[in-house]
Amino acid sequence: MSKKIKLTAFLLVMCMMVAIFAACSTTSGNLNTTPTDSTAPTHNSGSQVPNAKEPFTVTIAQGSDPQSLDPHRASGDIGANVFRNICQNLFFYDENWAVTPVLAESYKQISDTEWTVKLKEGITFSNGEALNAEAVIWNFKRAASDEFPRQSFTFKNYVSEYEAVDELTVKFTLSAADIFFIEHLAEVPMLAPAYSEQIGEEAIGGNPVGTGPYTFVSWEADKEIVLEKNPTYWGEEPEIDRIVVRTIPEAATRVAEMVNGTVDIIMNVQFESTEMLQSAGNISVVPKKMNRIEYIAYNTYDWAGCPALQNKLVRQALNYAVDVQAIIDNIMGGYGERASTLWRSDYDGYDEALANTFTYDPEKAKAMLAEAGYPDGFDLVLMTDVDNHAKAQEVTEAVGAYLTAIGINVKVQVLDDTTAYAIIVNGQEAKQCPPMFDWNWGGKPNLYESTLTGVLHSGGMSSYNVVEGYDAIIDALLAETTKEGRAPYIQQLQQLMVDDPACLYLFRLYDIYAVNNRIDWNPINHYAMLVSEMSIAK
Amino acid sequence: MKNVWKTISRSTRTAKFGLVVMALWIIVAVLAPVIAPYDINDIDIAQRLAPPAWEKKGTIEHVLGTDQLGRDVLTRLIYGSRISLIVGIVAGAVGMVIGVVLGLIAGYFGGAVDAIISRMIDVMLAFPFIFLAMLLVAALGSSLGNVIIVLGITGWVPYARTIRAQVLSVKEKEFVKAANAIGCRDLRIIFKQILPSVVDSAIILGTMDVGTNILAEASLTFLGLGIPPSIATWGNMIANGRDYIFNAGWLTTIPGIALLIGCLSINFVGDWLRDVRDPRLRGVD
Amino acid sequence: MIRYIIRRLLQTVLVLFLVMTLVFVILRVVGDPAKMMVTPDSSYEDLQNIRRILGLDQPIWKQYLNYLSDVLRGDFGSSYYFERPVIDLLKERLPATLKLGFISLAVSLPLALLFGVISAIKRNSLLDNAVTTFVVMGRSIPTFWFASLMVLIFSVQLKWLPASGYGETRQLIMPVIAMSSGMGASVTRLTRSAMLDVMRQDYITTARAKGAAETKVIIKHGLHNALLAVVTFVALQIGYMFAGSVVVESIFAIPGIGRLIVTAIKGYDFPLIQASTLIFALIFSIINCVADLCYTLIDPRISFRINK
Repeated sequence: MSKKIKLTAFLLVMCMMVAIFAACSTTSGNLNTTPTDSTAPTHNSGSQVPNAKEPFTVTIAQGSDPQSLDPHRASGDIGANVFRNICQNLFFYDENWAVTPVLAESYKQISDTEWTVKLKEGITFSNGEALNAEAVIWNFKRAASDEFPRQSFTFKNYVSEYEAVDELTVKFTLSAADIFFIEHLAEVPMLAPAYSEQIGEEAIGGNPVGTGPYTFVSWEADKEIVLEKNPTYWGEEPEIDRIVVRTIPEAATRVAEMVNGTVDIIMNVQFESTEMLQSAGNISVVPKKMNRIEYIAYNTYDWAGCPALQNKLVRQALNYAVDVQAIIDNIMGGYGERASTLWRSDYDGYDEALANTFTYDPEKAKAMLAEAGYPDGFDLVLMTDVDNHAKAQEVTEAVGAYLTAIGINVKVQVLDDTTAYAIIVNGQEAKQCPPMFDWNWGGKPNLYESTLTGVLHSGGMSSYNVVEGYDAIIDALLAETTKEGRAPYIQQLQQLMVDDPACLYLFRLYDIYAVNNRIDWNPINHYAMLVSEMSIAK
Repeated sequence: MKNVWKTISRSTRTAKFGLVVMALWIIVAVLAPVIAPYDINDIDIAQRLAPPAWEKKGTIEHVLGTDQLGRDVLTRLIYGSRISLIVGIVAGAVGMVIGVVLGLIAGYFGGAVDAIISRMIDVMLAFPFIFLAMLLVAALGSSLGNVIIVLGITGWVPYARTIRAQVLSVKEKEFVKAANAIGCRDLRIIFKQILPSVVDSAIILGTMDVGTNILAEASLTFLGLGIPPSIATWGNMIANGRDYIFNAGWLTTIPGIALLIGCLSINFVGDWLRDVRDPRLRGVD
Repeated sequence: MIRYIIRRLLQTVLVLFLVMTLVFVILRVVGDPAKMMVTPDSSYEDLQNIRRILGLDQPIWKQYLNYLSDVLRGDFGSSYYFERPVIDLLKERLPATLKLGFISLAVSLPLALLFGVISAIKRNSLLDNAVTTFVVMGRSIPTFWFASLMVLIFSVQLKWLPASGYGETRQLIMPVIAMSSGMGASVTRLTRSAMLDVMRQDYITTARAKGAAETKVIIKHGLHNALLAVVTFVALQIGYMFAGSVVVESIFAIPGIGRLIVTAIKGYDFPLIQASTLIFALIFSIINCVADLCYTLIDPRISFRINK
């Protein structure tokens, strides 16, 4: 080969590589685009003027792609914010966070463990399947199955028997009496059974079909999910025609898109960005109450290496030592609700009288420490993880500073989310958990049971509380099957949380939303983000 | 010593700039506790996000402002210079030692040993560094020490490749052949004859590597698998300040500029060293 | 030639196998994926159940053999987190990463070659100094900071470009700039020094002496040589490019593979991590094989590179 030929050959090979790459990226790129997508107008929603012809689109940006849109498998709000618009539940929470019938017409309690639920007539899934008793039973069985590693909720062994009494009536026989049966019904969204079985288990997460006001259109991985109005929806027609849920990982980029008007709703906004968002002129910044309480847990096991925490006076003293309100005001921008125990204000039997027990009083805290035998404080490791929520580290550092101020030698240990999670969840045997750690706990409205079994009872997966008294009261409380029977224990437990604290109580979290003013929706009243509840601003 | 001064005085303007900045950097890093205006962990929530002195609401108390925890940015910048430098140098040294040793062994002994080491190099190359580093940090846990180790064990490949190639050529030189002929032990030949002739390249590569490591640490931290946020490094400061980029831009700009100038000077010096000491290395990265 | 290719292929297979094994071993040290999958209010039995379903309760050698036999049959398993076949997840995201990488190379390489050559020819001129400064800047600036700054300036303040997204050409401008700056800088520097090296060689002097036109000398000998160095360099630097891609994809919300991998590593998603490392190693090996072939094709003198 002469030199020239060689050079040409070389260039040819390079060109081929280029062509292959170009071909690869274009062909596979096309596979992902559904026909609907290419014809639909791109979502430059901010400047769009709604009229009869053009669909009114709401664009929502979230920090990550949902792991799945399978309502029985996906956990967390990222997926729920999408599938709740597609799949509905028998009961759900209304604007006052009260459980109200959605797909159900009525319910009846027959005995301690037997309930019947009657469905509304004439409801069909968006593919035409009828919502009947059999469909409901199929959904509950699927949700309770433990064949798959991930479950959105623990329904296993909860119902012992399902029966389709007639076309529209389901009878549930529970394995044990539960006063929160109806609330639990609000946790299982309904999928179209025949269709779901036809497409197969793995495909459901990418193509859910439900009875809801919106239907699934397309999902481009890590880019966007599109939903459109369900033309056969049984209820009132929603005002918004189309929903685009975009995935934008960087918080700053989400804010930038919001300001530019290319996105209509974002969440997890830092309060510091409020001013900038509002200066855009057409954005409202609004808080939404979360179902989460942030607290600093005590590890009272012997192996934690901090005997001081086993002293009741010390555990109380720490609660007096921290100016929680100042933390809410300064670090959380005022968004937060002081919690004096883990018993949330929306729980049954909330005792308002205890709400202001732990007022900031460093002198008292010091005196209590001295009384407990620690006048010069003690050594303490306080762990936090950065992604718990945006300000978790700041809150923990602040708590650490307050504790240092009463003479405790605090070392704040900051970890990433994954590492902290691996240490805390089921870490009782590994004995790695430090004496105190920042954590938060969520629970559905009114459902206090997971807080009791998960955080306060010594058997909980992320509980390091072995303070005497808690297990006994919780066991007794859960054994009662009526609200009346539980009331005295609820009172006792709240009192115990004050007298002999299980943790350093902080506050209930708020999530800050930014909403473009072309949409009329105020998240503060809503438990979930249902686009059907939004309307076009006049 | 005289020679060093002579070389420096003849250096390019950029190299002089780099040397001055690096000298300053080292002085600041060493004297951090003395010159920092505040204690590194002074948290003052009431003072959070105070702007730097030149802005409207800025005060002279916090010349470069404060961060989201009310910590003084200047103080963290000064301490950060120290940790960033440690990360860069120690991680570079770890990589250099591993790489030089493997490169020497592979190049000198050849044969099966060389084949094994060459496959190790192939594996490392086929494994994107950021990927391996993230995995290792996930496995070992995120701490300053672990990040340094991880950067070290992911960074040895360029050294090994360069040194190996150079050993191959040095091996053919007369003095090595002579040593071999009179029956010197291998270790002696490697350390007495070969190492001195390749050490220059290693040091030059190492200089460049300091900057690379500092940037790599910043990227890891950005991805949430780096140094814990309580430790001040420049990369860490940028990564943690980026949520406040719209309302407290100084949190990212100030350490960003520091990082830029720092790496700039390292690269200036490295480029110059390479030109002066070892033109063979041109083109090796 | 054929023998060389066969040998090269065998080496590639060996490297892929080693990468697989290495990742497998590291992952077993990383931690317990089951813990990442339970909700905190689950029970200990739920945790055990998850381990059983995922097969993590089996002895490690058995897990390894299962993994190997699955891979040989082309089955990469399902992601723990997404509960979908890993291959589908990768297929959805690979195009964006490839496209971004390819465009960045297509933009940065010609520019880098051009400026590298010019600054070598006009050594120590104003332009050379400017190029050198740019090169050092490009190598000294953290990608994520640079990318965030661009969003702040061009998207928020000037409103020239969209802050994020993927699909329109406009949306690719900033990501490509962020990706190209580092690679472009390195290649410029490489070209410049390769050119300087070549220009000093005897045969260039001879060519000049024989009265060949300066441009011809530069293009025929200098550029030719520089190109070789650049091809090898770029092929070997794919890993570093990928690191930039991870960061750029996060900031500009590009649906690429980098972000998928970050999620996978944070969630201890074993099958996803294993498959994506393998795919990457495969791509890397193919590119380098091709680069090597180009190399031997264009310059038989260098075929000793077979033995590196």
